[in-house]
Amino acid sequence: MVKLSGAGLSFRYADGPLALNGVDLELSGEDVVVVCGPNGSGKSTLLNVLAGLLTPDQGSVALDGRDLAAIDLGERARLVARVPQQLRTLPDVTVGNFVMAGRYARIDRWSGPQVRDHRAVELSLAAADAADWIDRPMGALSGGQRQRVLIARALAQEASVLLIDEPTNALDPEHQLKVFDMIAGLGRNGRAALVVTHDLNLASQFATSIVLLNGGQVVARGRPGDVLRPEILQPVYGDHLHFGSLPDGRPFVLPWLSAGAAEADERLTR
Amino acid sequence: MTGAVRSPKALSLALMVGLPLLFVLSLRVGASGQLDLGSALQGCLATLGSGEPLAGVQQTILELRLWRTLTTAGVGAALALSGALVQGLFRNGLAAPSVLGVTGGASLGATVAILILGGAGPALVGVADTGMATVIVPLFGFVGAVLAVALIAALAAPGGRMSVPTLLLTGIAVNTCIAGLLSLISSLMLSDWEVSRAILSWTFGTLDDRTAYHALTVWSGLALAAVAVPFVSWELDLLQGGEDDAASLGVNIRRVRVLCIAAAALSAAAAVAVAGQIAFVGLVVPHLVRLLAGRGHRALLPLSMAGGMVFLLTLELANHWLLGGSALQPGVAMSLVGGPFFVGLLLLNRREIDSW
Repeated sequence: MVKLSGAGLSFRYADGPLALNGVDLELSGEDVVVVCGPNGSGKSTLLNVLAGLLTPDQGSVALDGRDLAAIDLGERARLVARVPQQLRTLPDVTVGNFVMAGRYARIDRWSGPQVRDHRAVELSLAAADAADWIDRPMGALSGGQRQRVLIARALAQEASVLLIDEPTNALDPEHQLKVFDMIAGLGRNGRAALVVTHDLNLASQFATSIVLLNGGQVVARGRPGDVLRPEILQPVYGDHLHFGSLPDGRPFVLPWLSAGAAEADERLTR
Repeated sequence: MTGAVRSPKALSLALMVGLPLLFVLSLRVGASGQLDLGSALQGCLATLGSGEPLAGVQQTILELRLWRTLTTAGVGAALALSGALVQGLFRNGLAAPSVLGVTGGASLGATVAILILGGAGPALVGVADTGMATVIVPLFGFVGAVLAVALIAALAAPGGRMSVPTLLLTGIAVNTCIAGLLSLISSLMLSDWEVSRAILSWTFGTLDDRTAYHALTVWSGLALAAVAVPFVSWELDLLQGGEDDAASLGVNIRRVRVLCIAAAALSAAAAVAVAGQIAFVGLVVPHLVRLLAGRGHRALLPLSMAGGMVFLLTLELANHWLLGGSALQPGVAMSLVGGPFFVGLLLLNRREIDSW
């Protein structure tokens, strides 16, 4: 079981404000940690710092106690996988070859992909509910389908920790559930996941813990029921939220323009 | 966005058939008459030191054609490989070896060599013999190219970190400085007809009167650069999704950058050093290969090399066949053919290219 931990992480983009300000975070084993927060709160920066793509100005990231920056890139890719929101350009390859890129750090340059690599690609695609597309060109997939293939590629890395950036933005509700169920399944199989998302309600259903960021700082963390509360969310997101409970007792949160609704009511009764 | 993934197999096959054919044709056909296949082969063997040489002037003609053909093929391959590497690294289909300063640096080096050999130079450095020009101009061209690339790389990456836009902009800046220096030299030497002519003709490129030295230079540069190919092919594919994405898959971005720039600079420098400026090969050939065989670099890089050979050999053959003794210099022919060709390519493949 691999433990990824960040301690006292601060990061500032050139000429910008502090994007991260003293964030501590630990991730291991069966954790499904969901990072929430308003736009610009530092969610994606945190993910990129944990992935080793950004070097923190202060604090450090460690993988099982070893400084992440000192770990060879290949070994890092075998331990930590990152799922981007989208790619800069779509490669002109089949879905199968695209997912094979997840095996980069495991494939010998001279002997090429082996049976175990092809097997890993097939299993990963199946886990992402995308097995049928293996021979399709990437260009023929819809945005939501591409999202699932990106997740499959990270699964093919067979890393112990997955860092996932807004995985459900382009997905319909059915596939939002499927993707989060898959992520929760990783946890049950001993692989930790950190998910950045705006979707508080999926977080409520699938997260083992929620980290709420605001202005680059952790303002709350804990089980969904402890974080998704009016006194915690309203100072961060404002007052236009409606809180309720799902049939299983988990909280849900909806954006709700209550003041506007009240005015409309007033106009109707006048 | 493409609906189909292209296969490189058909193109590989066509190039494997086309290349030997063009090679033999280039040996047989020329301004000084035709040779039959048997004589061409006999002459080649004699050049390698086995068997009887051809009678009289025939052997000399064949050897000239052999070195010209080998140099032409090497130059085409080196420029195309360089272009494919630079385009892959910069994720930009409009990048060419010249952005790295290779062409400008080589021109400046060659011009300085011509100055030394021409004007007051020969007396100064003790090389009055014009045969030395064969060695000294390419050598200076090569050194100039390498220095220009090193300067651009050093300016663009002071702390070892190099961003691609910075590199491109630095390349433009340094190329502008080099162009200024070249204009200065040319304008100062306007009254010296011999030197002006030499400088000007170098900018047109030439593949005639090439020697074993030229062929060896370009093929050595090409061979050294090609060593990098297996270490960057898959990596360049993964880079197309962005550097962060490739890094998170385990790609050592810095190593890929250094290898690509070194290989691209080396092969283009070797080509420009022996043949002068031949534009468009490095730009057009990788485009053609991508259109025919797809964008995967494991196929694109070797096929660009073979495609570059076929492209430049065909152009030279057509040039000599159609125009005979008044054949155009390759740089001129390439610009005349390559320019409109490239415009046509852009228009025909608008949708495709929009997605690059």
